[in-house]
Amino acid sequence: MSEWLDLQLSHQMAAVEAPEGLWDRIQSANRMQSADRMQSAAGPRPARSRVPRLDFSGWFNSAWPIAAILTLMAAAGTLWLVAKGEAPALDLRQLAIEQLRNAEPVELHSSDPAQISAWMRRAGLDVKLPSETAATVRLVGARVIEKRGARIGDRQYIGEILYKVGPDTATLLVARAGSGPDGGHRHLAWRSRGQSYALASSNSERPDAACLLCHASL
Amino acid sequence: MVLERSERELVEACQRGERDAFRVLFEAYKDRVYSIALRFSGDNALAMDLAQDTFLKLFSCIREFRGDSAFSTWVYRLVVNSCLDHKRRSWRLIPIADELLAVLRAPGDSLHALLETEMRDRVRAAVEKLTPDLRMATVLRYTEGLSYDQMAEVLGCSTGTVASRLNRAHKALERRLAHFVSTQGARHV
Repeated sequence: MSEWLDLQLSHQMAAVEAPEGLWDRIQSANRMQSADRMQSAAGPRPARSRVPRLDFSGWFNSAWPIAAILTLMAAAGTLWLVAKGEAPALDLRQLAIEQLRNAEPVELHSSDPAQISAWMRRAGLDVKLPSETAATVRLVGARVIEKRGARIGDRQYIGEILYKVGPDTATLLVARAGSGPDGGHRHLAWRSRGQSYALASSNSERPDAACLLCHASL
Repeated sequence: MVLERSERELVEACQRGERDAFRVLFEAYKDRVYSIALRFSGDNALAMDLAQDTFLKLFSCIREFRGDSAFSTWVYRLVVNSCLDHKRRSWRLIPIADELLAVLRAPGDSLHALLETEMRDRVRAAVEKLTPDLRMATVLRYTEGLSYDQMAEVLGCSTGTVASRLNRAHKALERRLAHFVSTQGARHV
């Protein structure tokens, strides 16, 4: 068995040639990353310190009763809000993070802010993007998420604008919000003029880099 | 002439910012970096992202390289860190579709091709289910053929830890492929 496994691993895990377009892609990303490069960390640290631990078995065994109680409490809270006639708050920020983790193809491929804004208006969302963004920002496109995360019993669209910040992917989610006061930019999620917004970035060390979409400097 | 330089001179040229030297260094390491990224992630598009990320870090941090270790070790650390930092985002559908299309288009013995594909998918799927540290040890060993000492230097651990990780990876793979090897293994051993 070990010999068979050794042979199979040598065969199936063999090295391959890099694709032709890799150099062009790196050159392109390198140009966009000039600002980020200024802040890049010192050389690589040993990989050992960064190996994630994925053994959740002990945690799961002790935490599942707590998780069950929290789930029941959340369900009870939701029912209470519905009974009161209020819709539960939409956690756009969490949704934005999930969208990045499970990225789906955009419906509109465009790097034109005006075109993306016009496309969003068709879904009933008013998104004004600056005509000029930071040098490291590149718009990829947009899509609309239907129903997901909407208020209970309501049909709602959530607009997603996907873009790159240097080598990282970032997303801006926009959804219609209920009545209520506008809030400031807190934790990459805010509310303004009847709409809720949330940002997320694939760069967990610098999530605020996603703000470069509208703020040319941070 | 850049092409005739030793690796040490090449690195120094990169540290001075010579553009040609970057390209030569890229050509020297692109297959190794991409192979590790591909075998670790199991996804072509993700491997491109990881390779791109690795080379961007390499080019931006090369001035930090002091020659304390072999340059190849330094590059391996970069790609290993890029891979381990990356959180897997989604189930891959397109590569599987590509593989299926490749089988359908393959001339000759399609049954043999299907069996080969099945074998490859099973082995790679089993590797992908390993925890990141065990998977990376497997990739460095079987994709790059690194020695235990080299792996220890790249991963920042002892050779004993490397041996332990490989041993645990082998046992996990043997367990996951036990059914498959009982029906297919005899043909290959």
